[in-house]
This record gives sequence, C-alpha cells and structure tokens, in this order.
Amino acid sequence: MSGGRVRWCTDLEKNALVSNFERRGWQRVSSDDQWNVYWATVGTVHRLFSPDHGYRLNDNQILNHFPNHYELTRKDLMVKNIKRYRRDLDKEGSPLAAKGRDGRYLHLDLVPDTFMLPSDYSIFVQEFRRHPHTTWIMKPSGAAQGRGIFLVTKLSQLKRWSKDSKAQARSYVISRYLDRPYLIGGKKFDLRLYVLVTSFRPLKAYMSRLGFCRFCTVKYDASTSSYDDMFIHLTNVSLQKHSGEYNDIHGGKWHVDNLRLHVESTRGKEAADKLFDDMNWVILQSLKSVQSVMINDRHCFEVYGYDIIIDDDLKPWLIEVNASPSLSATTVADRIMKHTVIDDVFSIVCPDNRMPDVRNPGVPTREQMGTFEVLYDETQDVAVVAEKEKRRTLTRRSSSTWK
Amino acid sequence: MADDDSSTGSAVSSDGGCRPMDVMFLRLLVEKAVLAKGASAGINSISTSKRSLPSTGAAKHDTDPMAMCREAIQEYLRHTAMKHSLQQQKAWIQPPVLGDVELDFFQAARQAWHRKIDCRLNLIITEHHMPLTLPSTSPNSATLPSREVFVDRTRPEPLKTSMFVYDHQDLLREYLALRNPNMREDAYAPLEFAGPRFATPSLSALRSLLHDLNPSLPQEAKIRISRRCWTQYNASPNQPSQATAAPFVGGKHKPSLPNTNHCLCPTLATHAMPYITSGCPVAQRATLWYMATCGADPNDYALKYDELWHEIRQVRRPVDHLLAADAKYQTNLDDNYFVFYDVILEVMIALIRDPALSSEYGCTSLGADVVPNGIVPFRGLCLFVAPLAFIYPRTPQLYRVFVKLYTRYFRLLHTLNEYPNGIARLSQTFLDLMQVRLPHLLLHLKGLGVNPLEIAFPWMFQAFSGYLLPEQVLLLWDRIIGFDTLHVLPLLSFALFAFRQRALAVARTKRDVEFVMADLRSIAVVPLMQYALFARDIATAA
Repeated sequence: MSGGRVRWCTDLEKNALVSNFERRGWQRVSSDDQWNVYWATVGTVHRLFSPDHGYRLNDNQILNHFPNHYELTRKDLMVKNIKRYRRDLDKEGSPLAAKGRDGRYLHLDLVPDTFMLPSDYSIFVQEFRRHPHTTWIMKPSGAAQGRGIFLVTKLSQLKRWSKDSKAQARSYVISRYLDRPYLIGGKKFDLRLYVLVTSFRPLKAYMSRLGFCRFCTVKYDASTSSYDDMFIHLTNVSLQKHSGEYNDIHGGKWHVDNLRLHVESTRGKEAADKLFDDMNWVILQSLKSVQSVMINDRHCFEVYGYDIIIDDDLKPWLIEVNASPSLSATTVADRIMKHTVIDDVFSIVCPDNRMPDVRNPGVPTREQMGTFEVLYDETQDVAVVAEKEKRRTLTRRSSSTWK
Repeated sequence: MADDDSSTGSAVSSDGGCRPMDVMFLRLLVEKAVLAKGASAGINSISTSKRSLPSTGAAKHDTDPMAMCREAIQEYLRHTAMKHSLQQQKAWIQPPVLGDVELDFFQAARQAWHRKIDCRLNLIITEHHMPLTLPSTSPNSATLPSREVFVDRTRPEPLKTSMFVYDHQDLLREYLALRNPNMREDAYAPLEFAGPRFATPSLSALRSLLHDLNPSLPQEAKIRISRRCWTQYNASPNQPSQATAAPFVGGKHKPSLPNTNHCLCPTLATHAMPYITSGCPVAQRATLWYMATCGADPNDYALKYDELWHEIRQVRRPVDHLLAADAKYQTNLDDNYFVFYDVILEVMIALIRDPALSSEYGCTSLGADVVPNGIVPFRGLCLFVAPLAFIYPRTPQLYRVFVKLYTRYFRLLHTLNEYPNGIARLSQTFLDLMQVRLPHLLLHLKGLGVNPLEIAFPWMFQAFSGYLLPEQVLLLWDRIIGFDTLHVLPLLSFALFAFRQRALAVARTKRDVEFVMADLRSIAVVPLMQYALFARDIATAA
C-alpha cells in the first residue's frame, strides 16, 4: 500500500481538481475502491464518519473535510462558538478578552452582532429597540450563494417573516448590517480568502496569497430605498451573474494585490499593513474558537473559503466560512488561480507527490507551500511549545500532550 | 549653483519658522542625500552617516537644523550632478516647450492624418444621427443634472462599444508610411520597418540620462520571488513570501510622509522630482506626483473643478458617447480597471470639454462644436486615466494631475509629431537599440516577417497601461515623471525583447512571436530596465 501510484477519487467534476490530479500522474479510482485521496462533498463525509457506516480510514487515506466542520461553517454554530470562546477567555481573565469603554471586545470583535432566530428572538428585540435606526440582515443558517437573504429595518418585517411557516422551519441568523463598507470606485465588495487547515490540535493553518475581491455590479447606495435591490448589497457571484452589468471577462473579481495597492496608495502603508494583519488575526481567532470542539481526525484536512467585508474604518469583519468554496471558474484568471490554489494544497498535504501518510505529518518547506503562507503553526509557536514542555515536566506524563 | 542657493535659501527662510510638513520633507531629502553619500562611500547605516554630517559646516550648524538641511541638499545636488537644472524642474509649473523642430513633411503628414480622422469622426456622427449640441436638461425640468447623473447618463448609445475613431494600428500605419523627401532611399540601408530617420540617444546616452536606475542605489520596485528562486536565497520555511531581495526595498529606505494633502512651499515642490526618480513608496506617490506636477498650489481646485463641470453639464456632445464607448470597452476587457469605470469616464469628459485646454492643441477642421479641445477620442484614451484612479480617490485631484501628465507626456504618444519625446522618435530609439544591441534577434525576426515595432508600438502608444499590472505601470510612470522623459518606454520595450530573446530565437512563425510577447503580467519593470542599461553582456546574454 505504501508503494505504487496514489489513487484519487472525487465527487466534484471540477477542472481545477481533475487537472491537478492528472498532472501528478495519480490514478483515478471510484469511491468504492481503495482510494488514497478523496475530494468529497460534505454529504459523503457525513456518511463516511457516521457510526453505522463502519468504515475505518487507514494510514494512507486522506479526506478533504473534517467530520464536524459545520461547527465553523454554519453561520449559527460559528457565532455560537465564537461567543463561547470569548466567554471562556473572559472567565480566564485572558488579556485577549479585554473590553473597551463601550463594552465591546477590543481584540475579539470578529463578527458583527448576531442573534439566532427564533431562539434569541427576545434578546434581539431588546437590542433592536435600543438602537432603532440600524439595519439588520437576515440569513438562513444552512444556505449558500446568497439565497434567502434580506434586509430588515423594522420589526414588522420580521413579523411578516415569522408568519411564513415554511421560513420558520429553518433557523436564521440576524446580524447587524455594515452600512458603511469600504467602497472602491463607489462599489461594495467582499473578500474571499483561502485557508488550508491540516490539523486543529495542534493548530496548523496556512493562508493563500491568492485571494480575490468580489464586486457588486451596481454602485453602492446607502439609502433605505435601495434595500430591496440585492445587486447593490450582496456580492455573491451567483447572484451578480444575473445582473445586466455583469461581464464574464473580468467577472467582477479583483486580485487581493490590487486591493492592497489601493489601500496603501489612498490610506498609507501603516493602514494597509494593519488591515492585512487584522484579517489574519480574525481568521486565526475564528479557528482557535473551534479548536476545542473540532474532531481532530488526522486523516482530514480542509480548505475553507473565508468571506470578509471591510468597513470604512478599515476594520475587517468575518461574514462566513465556507467548507466547500466554489472551484468553478468564471474567468480565465479565476481558473488559473483556483488551479494554483489546489496545486499548492496538495503540495502541502502530499509533499513531493508521495503516498499520503498520516503517521508522519511533516513541516512543509517554503517551496512546498508555494503561494500559501503559514498563518499559524502551533508546533512552531515558541511560547506554546515552552508552555507544553513545562507542563509535561511538571506532571511527568510521557504520552503525547496533543490531544 | 547660485540659483539653487537662493532657492533653497528662500525655502528655508520664507516664513519665520518652517511648517512641520516642510521640515519633514527637508528631513527626507537629507536622509536621501546621506544614503546616496553612504552608498558611494560603502557605508550602509544611516546613523553613522548622520553623525558625519555636521562636520561639513561650522559649529554653529550643529544647533541650526535648517542650515544643516540646506547644506545636505546642496551636497546632494552636487553629488548627483543633476543635469536637469532647477529651471527645468520649474518647467512643470510653466507650460512645456516641446521642441523647436518642425519638419515640413511631418507637418504635411500630420495635416493629412488630421483630415482622415476628422472624416472618420464626421462619418460616425452622421451615420448615427448624433446631434452636435444637445441641451442636457429635458424641456420640462429646469434644473441641470448633477455631475454623477450626467456621467451615468452618458452611454455609448447609439454607438456600439467597439466603435472608435482610430487606434494604434492606424497610427502605426501612418508612421511607417512617412518618407523624408530629402533622403535618398539607398543612402542608408533601412530596416523596412521604420519611418523617417532621426538622431536617437544611444544606450550609453540613455544610461547617463537614467543614471538613477543604477543598481547600487536603492530603488522602489515590486518583485515577487518565484518558487525556484527561494532555494537560491536559502530562505527558511515560514518566511513571508514577499521578502525583498537586497536592492529592492519596499519603502524602507525612505521615511514616510504623513499621508495628507498639505501644501508645501512651492520651491520644495521642485525638489520632488529627484526624489521620484528612484521610485515613490506607494503610500507617498499621491502627494509626490501632485507636488511634482501641479507645484504645490493650495487645495482649492475642487471649486474650480465644480465650475468646470457646471459648464460641461449644460450641453451634451457626441464626443461624450465616443468616450463612453471607449471606457466601456476597455474596462470590460481589463480585470484591473473595471471598478473605476465611472471615475474614468468623468475625468475623460472633463478633459475633452475643458475650455482652458483648447489653446494647447491645434484644433481640427471640424471646429470647436464637435471637438471642443482638439483632442479626438481614440481607442485607449481611458487607459491613461485608469492607473491614476488607484492613487487619487477624489476626482478633482485626479483630474488635475491627469491634465498635467497628459499635456506633458501622453499626448505625444498618439499624435504624429516630431518632438523629442514623441512617438516617432521613441519608435526610432527602440529600433536603434534593437539593431545595435540585438542584431541577431532582429535578423531572425525579420526572417520571420515580424516587425518588432508592431509589437512594441502598442505598448509605447499606451505607455504600457493595460499591459502591465497596475503597480508596475505606476512604477514605470514614476520614472517618466522623475526623469522627465518618455525614453523609458522604448528602453523597457527593448529590455522585454532582450529578456525573452531565448524564447523568440526558437520561434518559427509570426504567431509564435506574438504569443511569446503577449503576456506581460508577470513583468517587473525596474529590474528589466536596470538589466537593459547596466548589464555588461546584453547582446550575448543567450
């Protein structure tokens, strides 16, 4: 099993995946055969890890999702985990959980204020009545591609929604809408960043340098009369594609380098550096918040698509995390970029095209990381390692402390 | 140097104490002077050089920072032996004198060319029944549309977005057809490629002109190190991939200006030019370009801009639609500039309809109604505005800088003119460089039936905007402004051919050649220009 060609299979027929596998000379098999690398959908992964499936992965098999990735990728669970993480840090008295004068967390203000509906409805109403002129955005927890999202300015709009029994069956999250986003050329945009996580305990996360900004096709209009026009407010490509102004040569997508150039030219170098540092910080904290609840199966790795919006004060806000970021390409540049991202993912996860071996996770070299950079590697973080060493010598435990 | 003595003297003693911004800028120049001195003396740390600075003056200078700065500036100017005297730098503020060469065969060709494009413009207008003057207020509303509404309503209709009056192919054809009647055809074995002969600067002349590109001086450049090079640099894992290689610093060798639009003392503005020649740090480019091009006039241009737009909004003209067609076409194709469509269109309409500029350009025969400024919109005009949209978020400033850059440089690129910086001379410089330094390559291309000018001309026509990444275009334009010359364009074109000569040498058809030279997205401008100027073995680099 250790020799021979790497066998791969996939549930998604995407060019970015198939061309990468074929370029490496790996052998395609079906999911019923013995595979080494499986790029699966989330449904398949749930099935594989369900107790009645009885399928044990051997040491040469890797899978592209963690069993309970939904802790991070469902909007309501992500918010729940972040809130719990903040409360825990607060109880510990950690300096990370410091709060400012207005009661907001200084360093852990990762997401806009969010409530789960219908469970937190009363708390939400209290908050709404305290700030009556703010706008809120309603999103279904499990949906993607901008489906079912609408903006709320009055409680009566919510009452209308709650009467619709079909909508009430699904859980929704309602969060404060960022009505002053950072505009470029008068248009609203959001950022998509790719983060590869190979393990949660210890946390090993790599962020790709190849992210992109998705622009709305229509100029941003902050007035309330525009709240019905989703082309102004939602940046999802699957939505913007249907606008009359959409163009599939550039696809409304900008490379992150252009964003950096724009911010640095107009707001200065410190502001640009701080913005990108803050984005790294937000991503890292979101990963740390689910670190303890994730099932850290060593056969798993995952590529998350982080959606981040920047507001006018250059503060990044985490909007959501996608477990299956879209691998279809809308433009030529897009296709090249997604191909490179997957190429580098496999260069880190299966270094040198060897058979994947979960017993010896190595540290990827600079060349293997390609366009990825280390976001956080707990094994290399000197402070954490020293702490673990100290604890180990104190309790004289010989078994591994990474559980 | 008596002249610059008085000018720096006035800078320092103009108003009682210097404003904080002026002090900061003087400090910048001091540090640059010190670095330049340090580079030549082999000292790398600023602190040690700074300690040696006060020794140039009397003990009194230790206590007088202004005098110290003045000394340093004069030292710096002496050190770089600036051929461009301060008068020339002041020329930015006065209208440019573009050369006293007037060749009559050129003039005849130019008039024929003007007639051609007038004809084409006329055809477009009559075919689409575009009214020459259309009041922009509808009969039942008395108020003028606002600027945003006016720009929004400027649509390419009834034209198609692919409609244009002329583009670089047309101009190239005109240029190649030019023949100097004084020259015997066999007197000089011409490359069948070129238009009329001019004296052009040789590589060594360019080298002394562009001396600040010397690799021993720290430059602003953005390069990305490829995966293979990492092993050469012996980088350890977990290092950021944008670590800078030795001579290219990302703004680290220049202390940063606070990012404001303060006005500086006007004489200090003339010192911005030498500062720009080694590239501007990204964060300061806005201020530096504004200072270099517009002098440092007070910031009330917003009012003038509004007045200008008040004039423009009254009436709609057919050129507006042509501009909209060009902007739509270019921004649809380009994945860097599509965001700025509205800004670009606004600035271009202001340029074409600005009555203050009509004295600059020879009016075409169609008269001021159709072509208000003598500028006929052509395919690619909006690409000159696009990179500036990254730097200036506010349109009045953007417009002002763009007008200065256009008047001084860009308009020489798309008209038939014989000025020293004009496209005809630039093309000739390019071909001469190719012939002198890369003769084998040129012969090979000639054998394939490829005219390298056909490939390089579109690049130079657009000043590389739309071909390179925006960041690289801005770095290139830094050098254009800093050295006050457009000759970096043929230099870069030549450097590109030299860089890819190995791939070109194995090309078998014209399409192969076009394919090799098609994609410029991965090009880093500064190292290439340095390679072309300072590499010892440019001709035998294969």
